[in-house]
Amino acid sequence: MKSRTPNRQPSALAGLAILIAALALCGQSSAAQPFKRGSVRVGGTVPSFLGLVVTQPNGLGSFPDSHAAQSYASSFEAAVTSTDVVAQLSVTDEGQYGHMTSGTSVLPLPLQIAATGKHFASLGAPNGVVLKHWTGPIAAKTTVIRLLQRIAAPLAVTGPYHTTLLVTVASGTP
Amino acid sequence: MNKSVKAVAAIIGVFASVALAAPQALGSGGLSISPSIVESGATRGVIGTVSVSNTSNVTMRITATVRPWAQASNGAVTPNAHRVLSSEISLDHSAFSLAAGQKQTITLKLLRTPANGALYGNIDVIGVPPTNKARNGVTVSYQLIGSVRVLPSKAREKFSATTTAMRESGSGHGELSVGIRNTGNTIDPISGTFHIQGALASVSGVVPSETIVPGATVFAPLTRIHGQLPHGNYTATLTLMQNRSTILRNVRLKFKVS
Repeated sequence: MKSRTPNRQPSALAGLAILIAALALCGQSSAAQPFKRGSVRVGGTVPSFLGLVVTQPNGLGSFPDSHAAQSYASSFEAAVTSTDVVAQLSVTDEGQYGHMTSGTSVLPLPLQIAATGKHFASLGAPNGVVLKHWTGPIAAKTTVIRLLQRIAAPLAVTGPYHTTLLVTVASGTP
Repeated sequence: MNKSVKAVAAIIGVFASVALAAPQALGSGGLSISPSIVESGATRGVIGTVSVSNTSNVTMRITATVRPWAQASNGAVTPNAHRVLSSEISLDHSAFSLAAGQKQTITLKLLRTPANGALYGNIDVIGVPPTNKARNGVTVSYQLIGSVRVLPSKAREKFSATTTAMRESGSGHGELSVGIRNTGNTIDPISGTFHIQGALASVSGVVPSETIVPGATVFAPLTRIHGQLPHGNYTATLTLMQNRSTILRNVRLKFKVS
């Protein structure tokens, strides 16, 4: 006589039936809380936040073809995150009031800057060039910042030139 | 701040931490401060902390300074680059190196009760990546400017409207604005209504919302005049409000359209 493997299926069904019965009893119990469909308020406090992510621009280090009037361009990106009511993106030049330098040599024409779709403006003003202004919270809002260096006359020193730009994100609400 | 803006700000805050922690799609990384608005009562001692996070892949040299605001006549505010508030507010960390991926908490401490009962300034945080002398061209540093508000225990809502300014662009055309000076110690925005009356014409409207730093004067634009006011003398009557309280009622200012 072959031994018969217990059929597990009836046991599983029995367990399920017991579970359903137990749940039903819980629902009818005066001590248990009846399940109610409704909304649950989920919330918390998030502190205000100001963040800036930038890429470092390439190019504009040397100007080998400066024997003729030329323009050299580069760009970089800035992503701004702000929870404030007002935020502003601007750029200033930490160096020679907007002019790139190579040792003691200073390029005669200032470096120019613009956000995409805007006209170029020369760096050099104390408060810099305002590129973007937002009213309302923003998350990783990316702005492509274009750079333009015009060379009008042959340069005695073709490079390397350097400058440091300060990209500023300010909360505009005092 | 209304509820919808708060909700959006909360969502932004959650995504901000994820956005900056995730691999940077832009490549070079970033700097952040939180909270970006430090607000406290005018009691000597610790008034708040600001967490500075370096999410770039290089060590940055960080400097932090508390400065007063400089406000232009059109209302635009910028940090006053020529002054610091080190006599009023101290920072326990004002210059430090911050390694990639690290945070530093800066504690702000009010050293003395402000003379006006309140103090409104900004915290100016600059992050400079290491100078790469072999790197030519343009390098970029970071600057984040948050707000610091030391609120008065006793609010003094005082403003004066003392002058009008007419920026004319042609006969009978121009922009009329009124100079409003904050002589109190509150920072909440003001707004209101105006009525201009002359012998032959009149016009009414609203004074747009302006935030005026105590001690500053902002010229709030009232109306563009497009030939609607003939030559002559006029009287502008202003009523200004702050936080639903009337701060100036029926102030009269005379001006001339020539």
